Amino acid sequence: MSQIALFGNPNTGKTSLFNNLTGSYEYVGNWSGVTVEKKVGILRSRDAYVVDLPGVYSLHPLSRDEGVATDFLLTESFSTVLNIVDASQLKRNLHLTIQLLEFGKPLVMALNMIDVAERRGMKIDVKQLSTKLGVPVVPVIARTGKGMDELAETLRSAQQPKPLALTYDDVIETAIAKISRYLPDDIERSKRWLALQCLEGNERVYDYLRTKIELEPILAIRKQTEESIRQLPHGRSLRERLHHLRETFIEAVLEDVVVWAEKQPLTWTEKIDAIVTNKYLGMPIFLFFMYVMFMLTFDWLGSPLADLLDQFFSGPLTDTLSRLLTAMGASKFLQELVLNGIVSGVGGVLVFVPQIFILFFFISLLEDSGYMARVAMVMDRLMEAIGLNGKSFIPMIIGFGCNVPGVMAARTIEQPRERLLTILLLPLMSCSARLPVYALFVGAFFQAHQAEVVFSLYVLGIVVALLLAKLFSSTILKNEHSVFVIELPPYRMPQALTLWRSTWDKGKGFVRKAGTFIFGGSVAIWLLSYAGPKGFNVSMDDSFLAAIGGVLAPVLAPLGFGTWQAGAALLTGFLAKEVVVSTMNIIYHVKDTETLQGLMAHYFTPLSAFSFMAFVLLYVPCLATVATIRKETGSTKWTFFAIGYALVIAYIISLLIYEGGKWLGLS
Amino acid sequence: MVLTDLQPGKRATITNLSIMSELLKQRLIDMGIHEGEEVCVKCTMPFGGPVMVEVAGQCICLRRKEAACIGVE
Amino acid sequence: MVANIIIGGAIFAYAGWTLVRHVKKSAKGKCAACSTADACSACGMEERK
Repeated sequence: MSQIALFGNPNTGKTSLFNNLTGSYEYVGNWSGVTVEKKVGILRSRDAYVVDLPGVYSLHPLSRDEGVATDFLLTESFSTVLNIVDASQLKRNLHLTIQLLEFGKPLVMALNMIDVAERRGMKIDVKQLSTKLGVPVVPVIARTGKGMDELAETLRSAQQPKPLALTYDDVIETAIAKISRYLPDDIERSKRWLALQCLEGNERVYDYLRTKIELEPILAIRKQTEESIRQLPHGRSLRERLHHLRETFIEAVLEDVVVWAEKQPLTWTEKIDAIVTNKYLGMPIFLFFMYVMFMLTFDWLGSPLADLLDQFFSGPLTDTLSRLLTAMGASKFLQELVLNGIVSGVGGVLVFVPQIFILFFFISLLEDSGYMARVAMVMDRLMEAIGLNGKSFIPMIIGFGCNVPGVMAARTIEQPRERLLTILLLPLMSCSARLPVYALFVGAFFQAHQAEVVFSLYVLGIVVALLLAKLFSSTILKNEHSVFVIELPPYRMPQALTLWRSTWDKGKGFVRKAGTFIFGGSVAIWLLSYAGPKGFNVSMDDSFLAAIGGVLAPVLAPLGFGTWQAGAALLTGFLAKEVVVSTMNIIYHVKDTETLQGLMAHYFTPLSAFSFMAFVLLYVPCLATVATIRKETGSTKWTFFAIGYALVIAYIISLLIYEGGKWLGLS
Repeated sequence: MVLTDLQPGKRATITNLSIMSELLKQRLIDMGIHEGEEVCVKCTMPFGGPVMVEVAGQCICLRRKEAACIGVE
Repeated sequence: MVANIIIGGAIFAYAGWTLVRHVKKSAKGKCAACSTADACSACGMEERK
C-alpha cells in the first residue's frame, strides 16, 4: 500500500486532518508541538497509509521532534506529500512548501483555516495559487472535516509536479550544480534538494550522506559559497540569503493570490490576551485557574461523585456479588478472593474515576484553547531564573495527566541540556495515578481542607522540581545558552466534542487499567496476603506480604509510617501508583473507602499521613515513566539518576515533614 | 534602535538580525521574523520577563535580552 | 466444586496475563493511562501493522 506523508508548520491542524482522513482519534491541541512522534493510520477508503508527522517550519531541524520529520523524508519511502498550510500564515507556510516541492515527490496542498484568514481580512484565490505553484490545492476545514472527500480524491490522483520555477542567484545555483555533480548517481533522493539542504547546513542530511560518501568536498563548497554570499552588498549569511530568495519568490506568487480587505479592528484573541498576559495579572490568573481546577476536582464536584460511586461499590455491588457467589456454591476461598481481593482492590481505584476525569477535562481545556503557550510565556521569567525556559512548563502540565506523554513532550525544547533537565524533573509532577492516594488520605485525615491539602502536594512537587532544577543547572547540568521562543496561537473556542474526546481518551486508559493491571495486581496482592510461610488463610501479619513489606518498615520508621503495610503498598506502587490504594484496601480488609479511612486512623496520624502522601508523590517514577525516560534520554546513567535522586529527595522531604511537624507539636 | 526600545503598540520595521545567535536567528526567521518585516510589541512581562511581539498577524514570544538584539526602525 | 475451580482458574489466569502484559508494556515505555498509549512510536506501530 502506498504511503502519504503529512507535512506542515506547527499548529496548522495536521493531526486534526489526519484524524478526519483516517477516522482515528489522535491527540490534538492548540499549541506548537502537540505531536512529537510520527503516527500511522489508514485512509478511510482503505487504500493508503497516512503518516502524521511533527510540525516543522523548515526541513532543517532545530529540535528533536522536528528531526523526526526530516528523518522520515530521508529514510522512508512514500508516494505523496500532503502539505497542510495555514491560510492565515500563508507566506510563512510556503517556505516549507517550497522545500517540499524541491524534494520532488507528488504534492497536494490542503489549505486550512481559511476562516481565520478571512477574519484577518485575507481573500485567497485558490485556483490561482494552484496554477502558480503547479500543485493541486484543496481548501479544507480540518477541525470539522469539511473538504475531506475532495482531498482524498485529489490525493489518489496526485501527479509528479512540474519542477518548481524557483531559481536562486548565480552563486547558489553554481554551488547546487557543483554539489549535484559530486553526489553519486544511485542516490534515491532528489539531488537538487539534497544540495540545497547541504547549503542550508542541515545536519540530518549530512548524517544521511555520510553513510554514502565523503562529506568534506561538500562542506568545502558550502564554506566557499558562504564566503561569496557574505561579500554581497547585504552581507547576509548563506541561510538568510536562501530564505530571502524564497521570500521574494513567495511574494511574487502571492501577489495576485491574496487580496487584503479591511482588517477587523481588534480580534477577541487580542482582547483576552490583554487580560491573561497582562503584566501584573498574568501569574495570578494562572494560579487562580489552577486553584479552581483543584477545588472542582476535590471539593465542589469530584468528591461528592466519588462518594456516590463508593456507596454503590460497597453497597449494592458487593451484596449482589456476595449473594451470587453463595448461590453458586462458591468456596470460602473464592468468596474472599472476589470480595476482599478484587472488589476492594479494583473498586478502591475506580471510585476515583470522577476526580480523574475532571482533572483531565481541565488539562484538555488548557490544551485546546490556546492558553497553554501563554502559560509558558507567563512562567518563563521564573523558569529562566532556575536555568530552564518557559517551554519546559508545558511538559510539566501534561505531566499532571500522566508523566509518560510529559516526558515525550519535552522533545520540543531546543536546548539538549534544558530538555534533559526537564525530563529528569518531570516525575515530580503529580500525575493522575497519584491522585487516588491523595483522595484516600485527605478523605480520612483532612476532611475539612481536602482541596487545599492536595493543592499543597501539587505545589510541593513543583517547588521541589524548581529547586532541584536550580541545583542541577548550576552544578551537573550547566547551561551555556538558554533559548526561548514560542508561538502564541490565536485562541479558539474549544469544541464540546473535541474536549470530550480528548478527556475521554486520557481517562479511558485509567478505566482500562483498572480492568486489567489493577485487577491482576489486586489478585496477586490478595494472594500474597492470604498465603504465608505457614500455609493458606493465615492471619495477615504472618503473610508473605507482611514479610516483604516488613523489610522496608524499619527504614520508613523515621518518616512516621514504619509499618509493613506502608512498605508493601509502596513497593507495589512502582509498577503503577494507583496500586498503592488497591494494596491498602486489600491489606486493611475493608470493602469501602469510608471504613478504610476510619481504620487508617489507627495506623496513621494526620502528620504521618501527609508525610506518606509526600513520599508517594516523590519517591520513584512508575515503571512506564522510567522506561520512557530511558528511551528519550538514551542513557541508562541518567535513568538511574532519575530514580536515585527521587528516592533520596522523597526520604529527605518526608523526614523533614514528619520530624519537623513533631518538633512543632503537630503529631 | 532595538525592539525593546519600541513603545508597546507602536509598529516598526526590522532592520538588523546579525548579532543574534545562529540557532535563535534561524528559529526567528522560520517564524517569520526577518529583515524588512514589520513588528509590533504587544506586551512585556514583569521582572525582565519575555516580550510578546506580533509579526504578520502572528504573535511570538521571546526573551527580552534576545529582543534587544533585533534592530528596528 | 467444579464451578469453584473454573472461576478460580479463570480469575488467576486472567490476573497473571494482565500482570505479565503490563510489565512488558511498561518496560517499553507505554503507559495505559496516558494519551499517547495508542500512538507512541514504540508501542502503537507494530500493533497496527
